[in-house]
Amino acid sequence: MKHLFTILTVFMSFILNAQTIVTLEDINVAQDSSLNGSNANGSFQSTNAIFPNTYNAMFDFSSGWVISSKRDTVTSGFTNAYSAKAGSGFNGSPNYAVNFDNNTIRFTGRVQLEGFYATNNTYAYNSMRDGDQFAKRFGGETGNDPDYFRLNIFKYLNGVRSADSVIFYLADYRFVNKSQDYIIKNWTWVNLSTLGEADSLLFTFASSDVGEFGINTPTYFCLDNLTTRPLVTDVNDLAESLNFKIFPNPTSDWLQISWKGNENGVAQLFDLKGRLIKNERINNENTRIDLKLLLKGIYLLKININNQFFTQKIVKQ
Amino acid sequence: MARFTIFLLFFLAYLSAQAQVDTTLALETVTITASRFRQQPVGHQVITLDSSRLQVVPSLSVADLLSQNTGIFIKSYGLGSLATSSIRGASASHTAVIWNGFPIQSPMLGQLDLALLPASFMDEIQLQSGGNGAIWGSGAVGGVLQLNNKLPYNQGLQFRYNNQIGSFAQWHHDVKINFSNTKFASSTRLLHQSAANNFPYYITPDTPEQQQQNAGFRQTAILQENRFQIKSNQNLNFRIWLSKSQQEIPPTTTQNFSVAKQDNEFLRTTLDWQLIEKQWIVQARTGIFYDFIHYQDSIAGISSPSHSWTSISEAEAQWNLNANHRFHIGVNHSFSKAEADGYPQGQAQRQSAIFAAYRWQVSKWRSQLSLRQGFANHDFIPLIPSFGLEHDITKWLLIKSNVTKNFRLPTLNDLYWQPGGNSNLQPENGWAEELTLQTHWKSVHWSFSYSVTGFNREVENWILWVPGASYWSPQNISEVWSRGLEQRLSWQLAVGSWQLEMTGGYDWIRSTQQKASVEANVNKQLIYVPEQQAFGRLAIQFHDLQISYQHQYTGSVFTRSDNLASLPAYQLGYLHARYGLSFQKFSSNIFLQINNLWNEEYRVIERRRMPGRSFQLGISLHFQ
Repeated sequence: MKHLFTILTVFMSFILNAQTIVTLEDINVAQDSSLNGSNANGSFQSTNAIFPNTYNAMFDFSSGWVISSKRDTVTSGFTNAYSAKAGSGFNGSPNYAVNFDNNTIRFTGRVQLEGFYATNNTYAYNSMRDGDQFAKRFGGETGNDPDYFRLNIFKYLNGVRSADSVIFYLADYRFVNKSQDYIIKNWTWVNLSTLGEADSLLFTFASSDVGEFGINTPTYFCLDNLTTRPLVTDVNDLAESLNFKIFPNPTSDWLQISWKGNENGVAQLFDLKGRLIKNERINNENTRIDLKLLLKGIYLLKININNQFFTQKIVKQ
Repeated sequence: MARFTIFLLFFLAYLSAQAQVDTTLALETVTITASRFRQQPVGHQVITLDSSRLQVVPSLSVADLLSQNTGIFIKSYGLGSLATSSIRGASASHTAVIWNGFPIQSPMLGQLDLALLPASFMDEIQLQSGGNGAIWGSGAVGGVLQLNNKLPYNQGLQFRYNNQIGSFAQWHHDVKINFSNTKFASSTRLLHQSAANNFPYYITPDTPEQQQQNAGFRQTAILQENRFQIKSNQNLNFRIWLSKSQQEIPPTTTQNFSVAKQDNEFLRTTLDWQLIEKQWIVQARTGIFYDFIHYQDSIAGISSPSHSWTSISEAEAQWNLNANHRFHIGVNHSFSKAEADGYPQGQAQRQSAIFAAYRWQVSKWRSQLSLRQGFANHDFIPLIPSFGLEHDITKWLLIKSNVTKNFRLPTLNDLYWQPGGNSNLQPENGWAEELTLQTHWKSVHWSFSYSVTGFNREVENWILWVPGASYWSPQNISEVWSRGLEQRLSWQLAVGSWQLEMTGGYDWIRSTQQKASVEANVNKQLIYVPEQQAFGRLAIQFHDLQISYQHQYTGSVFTRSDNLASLPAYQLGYLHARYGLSFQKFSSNIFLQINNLWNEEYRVIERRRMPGRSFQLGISLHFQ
């Protein structure tokens, strides 16, 4: 993962309006363990994002964000709260973040929001699947209860909380056709682009299973690859000047690239370890890159036109 | 402690030298474990269930017994599972559970699982509705439950064996062997019981029958008592009570499966000494109590053992100046220590108290003033008074009243549990008042009594665990106002070989939060406090055959403090038939009991299944 960081840093020097992806791989977490903030100063920082964490030394108790590399997708109960049900970080990467209860993420500077990948932790997933002594099995006694467990994501800009939020269902049992009911198990993209610019994010939970002590469902979720773009726009920006477009993204089969003008160029596709996967010439006749044979995951597409570089993160589904 | 006892003895001896002689008063306390000042305080309603009621069904726990025979609400998590009491709209930790004068609630929780106390291990159970902090100290807020053993001299050899089978693989047997001569008495009780509690249930009437899983209960217990007459006026009593049990914790109705279980072991050992003189009675007692609770859930990877040790020493003396004036004084010291997940290094609590009472009675008036000055961990607890008054208005009408101050110290969990424990908690406290009108009529063949009690109780600094920035923490945040009316009716008739008995009761209780952690809970009924409860029992006896029917109505309870969710009311019926045989020194009983006769589908606690109709069949053999 160090490679990736190096590559990203190198790319950043070329990229003017490219994405910033908080992969959390820059935080040193031993395999199958987690950092609960006991030795941090109330937060973790990765790339441009700060993940607040409350640690009470007297009680050896933490809440807020935990950085984890745990892979236990089986064990139920709160002792396994820091394992993602997906079994790893996004796309098999080791690190991801787990959040407990309402919490925020602060950015080091103002950003343009894109989104992040989310999944349940094993504790919450199994609790919704099986029920436990405190929380109900989703669907209830008959299996027909219209249960849900969702995340509301608000943004802060200049200290003001947005009225709108992005709602993401970590589990949804409200379908008329019960076979469509689901609990999120895989890393799933949450699009935040509708929220626009932000200084920080606020995450809150809502559940249909509410009791005397608030939400019964364990209020956890896992996050990875928080993606933003810088606000700085540059007239020399390749994407701007050439009106560069790469779509669809995420994609399953191919990428279409279009731009203004007749220049030819080279498109290079790297995986997250920095290995060159594809190297193709592109011109106005050949603007399609076939991705059918690629494994699912995140790639970086680097385009060179007249020694002007442009890099775009590509998600293969 | 020893020095104080000696001081007390001298003090009382001095007083008695100047006093008049009154023998009858002293004798009545011979078999009593704690002073009558405390067992039956003036102005209180005390229901006594004697040994014949305790052994109707040998497998009954104290929880079952109270639920079926008294108006108190038993919050049961299911057959064989945790069961706690709510008296007069208070919580489980507001019931003082006193075994032969010793409070036995867990110092960690301030409460006790009443399902683990076999009723057949007791000789008498007394339920006092309404607290009395001056007499019993911390926790005697809602009411006092006294579990008493009585061991008389001069009874020879007695033997009892109970064997019982029941639905859902229930099996119970217990043995009691008593021996006593003029100077020595011994009683040994052994009990073993188990049940799978795998009762059938339906999610909805049209879905297939399912079976309750992981609901088994197993218990083995022994109670040994020895009583010695050291001198004609001195007795020494030694008791040891050991119990080992395992409760499986069944899945809720919205849980696919459960492998959770709780092991529970306790050792309760006590020594008490009693001196009876013409005008005074002195008692000293000491006890050591050990509790081990081990909650395990292998799926969730939880193994949570906790241990607690409590030692209690107490001395009390009663001095009867004459028939009109009696005095009582006592001292008490207790030390509790516990180790739990939330405080693995252990935490301790010390309490001491000096208490005194004065009882005055003249012709139709009786009154009792009690005071208690307590210390907890070297801090003063404010002086706790109580006053009770009774007056025979006419031969058939009695009026009783009392005013008490009550308090409850925060438990070890409240103070020290990590995270959240709050060592700055203040004791809960408040005043309670009650007034009873009781009428009783009697003739040769019948007797009738009816009483109505109104009560009012306020508790300030009520401790609630409330959410903080990142974890829950207990706060003295709430104020609870409880008030209600309790009615009791009893009618007995004997004609020829027929005996008929009818008893019943109806309670109306409002118990509301006057101050709460959130506005939505203000003026709302506490959760799991039914506003209405009623019970009735009809028993008919003809020669050796007895048939009784009990009915119990429990009103709707709220399951959330904002009263936005509730459980429906339910009615339960119990039918019991018993036939007795005797031959010379042997006697025998066989009984059949049908529980939940009407096969009511009900819940005591949200998401916890309760069984439908079930049967119990047993035989009891006695030798005397």
